[in-house]
Amino acid sequence: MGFRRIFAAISALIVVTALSIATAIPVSLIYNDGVITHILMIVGTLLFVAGPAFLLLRDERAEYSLKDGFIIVSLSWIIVSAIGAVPFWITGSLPTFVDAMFESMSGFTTTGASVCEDVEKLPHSILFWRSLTHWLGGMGIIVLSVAILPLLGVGGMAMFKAEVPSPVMDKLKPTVTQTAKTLWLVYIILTVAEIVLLCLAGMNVFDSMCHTFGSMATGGFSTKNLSLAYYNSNAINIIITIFMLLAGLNFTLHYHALCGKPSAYTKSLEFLVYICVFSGATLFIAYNVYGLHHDSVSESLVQSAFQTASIMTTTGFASTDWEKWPWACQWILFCLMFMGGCAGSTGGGIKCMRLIIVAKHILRELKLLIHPRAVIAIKMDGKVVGTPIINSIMAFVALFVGVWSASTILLVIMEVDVITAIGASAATLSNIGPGLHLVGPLDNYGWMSHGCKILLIFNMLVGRLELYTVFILFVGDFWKR
Amino acid sequence: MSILIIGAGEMGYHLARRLSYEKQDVVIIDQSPDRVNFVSENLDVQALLGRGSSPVALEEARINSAQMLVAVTDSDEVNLVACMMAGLMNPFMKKIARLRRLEDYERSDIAAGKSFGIDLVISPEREAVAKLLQVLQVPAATDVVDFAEGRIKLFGFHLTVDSPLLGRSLMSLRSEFSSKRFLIPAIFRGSEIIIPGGKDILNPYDIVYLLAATETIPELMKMFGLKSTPPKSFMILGATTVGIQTALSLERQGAGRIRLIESDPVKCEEAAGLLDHTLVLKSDNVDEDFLRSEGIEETSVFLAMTEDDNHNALTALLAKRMGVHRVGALTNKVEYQRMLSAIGVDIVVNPRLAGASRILQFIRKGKVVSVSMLPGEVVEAIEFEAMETSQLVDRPLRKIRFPSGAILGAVQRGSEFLIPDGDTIIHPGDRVVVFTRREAIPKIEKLVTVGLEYF
Repeated sequence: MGFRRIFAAISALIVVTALSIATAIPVSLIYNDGVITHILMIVGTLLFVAGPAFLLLRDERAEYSLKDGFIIVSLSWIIVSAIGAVPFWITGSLPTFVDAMFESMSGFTTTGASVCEDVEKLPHSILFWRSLTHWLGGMGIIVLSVAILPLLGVGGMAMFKAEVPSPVMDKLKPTVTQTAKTLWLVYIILTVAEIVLLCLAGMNVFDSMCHTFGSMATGGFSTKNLSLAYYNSNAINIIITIFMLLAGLNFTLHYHALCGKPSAYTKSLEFLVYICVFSGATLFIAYNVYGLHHDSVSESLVQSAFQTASIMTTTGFASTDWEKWPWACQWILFCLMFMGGCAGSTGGGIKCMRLIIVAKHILRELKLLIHPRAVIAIKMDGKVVGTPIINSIMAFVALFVGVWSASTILLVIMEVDVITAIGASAATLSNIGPGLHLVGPLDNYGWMSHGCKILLIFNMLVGRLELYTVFILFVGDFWKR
Repeated sequence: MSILIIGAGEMGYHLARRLSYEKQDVVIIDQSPDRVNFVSENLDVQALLGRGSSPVALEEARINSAQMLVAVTDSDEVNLVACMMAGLMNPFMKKIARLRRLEDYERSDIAAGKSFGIDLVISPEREAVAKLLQVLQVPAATDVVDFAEGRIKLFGFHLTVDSPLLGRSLMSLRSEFSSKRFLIPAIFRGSEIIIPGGKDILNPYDIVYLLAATETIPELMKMFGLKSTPPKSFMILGATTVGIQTALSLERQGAGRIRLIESDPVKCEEAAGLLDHTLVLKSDNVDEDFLRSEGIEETSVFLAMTEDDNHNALTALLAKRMGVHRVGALTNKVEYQRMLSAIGVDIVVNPRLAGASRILQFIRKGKVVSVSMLPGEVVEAIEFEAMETSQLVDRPLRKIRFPSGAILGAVQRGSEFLIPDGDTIIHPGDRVVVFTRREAIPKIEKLVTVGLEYF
């Protein structure tokens, strides 16, 4: 572990963050929202501190080991979130630093859980930054840095792996930098498409940008207190549903499709399972809410599709208060929280691919009981999944459930009621946002104690970095030379 | 440039590593999942699981957009089929194939290269033998690199405890031997590599690299107290491809006595059939008594060339202890290279490294005449032709900002050999040798931009 190397990488990330905050400057100027001096001050300070370090260490042609990768990724997510919290805090938008940190971590990890009671009161530039954190965190701030800074090129794969949510990482291109650039390009293309469509559907440019950031990153921050229920427009709901579903898919598939091979989708088992689960849940919920809460068939279909997509992709937008829906519907949505999107998407959760492999593994165990001498290979899209990957996935799922239970228990100890605690820990660990009961779709996390908030900040971080990256830092062996 | 490598063995891995450091786009295919994992964890290249001879795998590796195919698996057949397949799928790409049994083609009418549309056919064993012979030409050298068609040589030698150079600074050496033109561009001390300045002092057991014009070398060696008599008798252990080829080449050069030891009777027969003057000895165990009975004391060079790396290293050390002045050992592991020379093996022969270097030279063909990595892969020697447009020419070197970690080693102008100083002016057309640490390579590239180009 070289501190110089780690410092070089982190100073680069701080510069990237500072430049991202700077994009709020034009927004502030356009809306004249009175926080321009704050933002300029923050950007200036960050560049002044990290800029020289970045320039000095730029030539550090370091090779990062896997170990460095874990440290850099965990550390930089904490640092970047802390920096991202400063605008919320300094402008007085949120009262304490813990609140600001919660908001910022929730942004970068694309959770979308808010502590803010009245978001419509916030200055426009702060709202913009709040949504932008989603967009940056969605594809990954390190993937972004790898794409634009040659600094992290050599050995960047280690960090890349630690950040991209996928059990198996395939490189699209020969080098990390090119792979990162390709992924960001796909991301940007989809983002621009959604902004244009939302504008056409009647949303203003500012709101459509913010909601696009929220949905492409599967985040869920809205610029309205009522989230998307504010617009009550089927066109907007349908557009956002489609883009949430796209964001929850593996970006490698989008890349192949954009290259002219749309058959990549149908060849992927993960895609098929994802779509089947989505359709099944949508139909079930639509059937149950039809006539009860929504009068027409189309209305109930749109609402149930939107809500299913929103929870399943771990976005967390609300188009209606689904806490009023029947318990069966709520329970289905709650289960979908754990599934999350596909591997290599911007979504959180356990991921479709892992669950498919777990299912196949269970099936294999059953078959082995019947034919003890059978040799059965677990395949994914025609490729054999090796035992080490299966083991790692089983452990991941177990750890995920373990962290969820532990944090639920801790929340209950800190005097949160059980239903809320179950919902809040699942919603933060899977990076969704809205949970159950007191933290439901139209509520927020503002009322919680600081202890609870810090626990949930941790949940969001480990959820986004897929557990191992953070938990490895707690293993004694890691620090021994 | 995007390069497709078939086979992630020792050679393929080494090539991929070098090329990815140079920021080339490398895709590597191997059929062992372990190798693929190993490569993708350690290198910034795309590693794919698949058979190099299968069109599906080649398609998946985007052969259509690659400019070069390097087939370096252990199997000649796979390499040939991969090249032929590449010829069908992308006729414009350059193709390099490793062939172990090159002599089969030489004995027939089929030319391995042309007949299969391969641009470069390479046999690592043959490259290793060529390199070994280069080294053997310079008495007492551990390593030799030729520049300017052999007119300049860079060679490394061990500093023994009785060397007259011990404790001397480079500055004092230069003033004492000012009549001779030479340069010490690198010193290997333990695991450290030093690009020395005038104040650095020579220690015992250092491996000193010296650059000089070829004709002055015998004289320099005499002044430095190095043994400069050409070797008279050779003992080679192992009738492997490298062993037999070395014996053959030595025979052709008319070297003195050559003895080849092998345990396998079949291989002995084969070797005896191929060789004329060499005495082939069959012996199961190579121990002190056997070596003594075969006259190890009178042997000037002992080369352990079996397929077993460990056996080679230990036997070479045994021979050294029994009084052989120069011993060599063959190894297939790149990591062993430095260690072996550190424990006293004078010449380390690594076919895969030699093969990889040859391929890299082919890939970088252009204005760069040659590129050689010194052991440890930290320092690289680049030979190039100074272009009129380069920033280096037509002004005194003093005025050029040279990156740290790099030195301009030598200039060959026609038949004249120069060790440049601050006042030297490089003319267009001069051959220039630069020594540089890996970190400084991009800066050197910038400096000679027009010189360092890929086709």
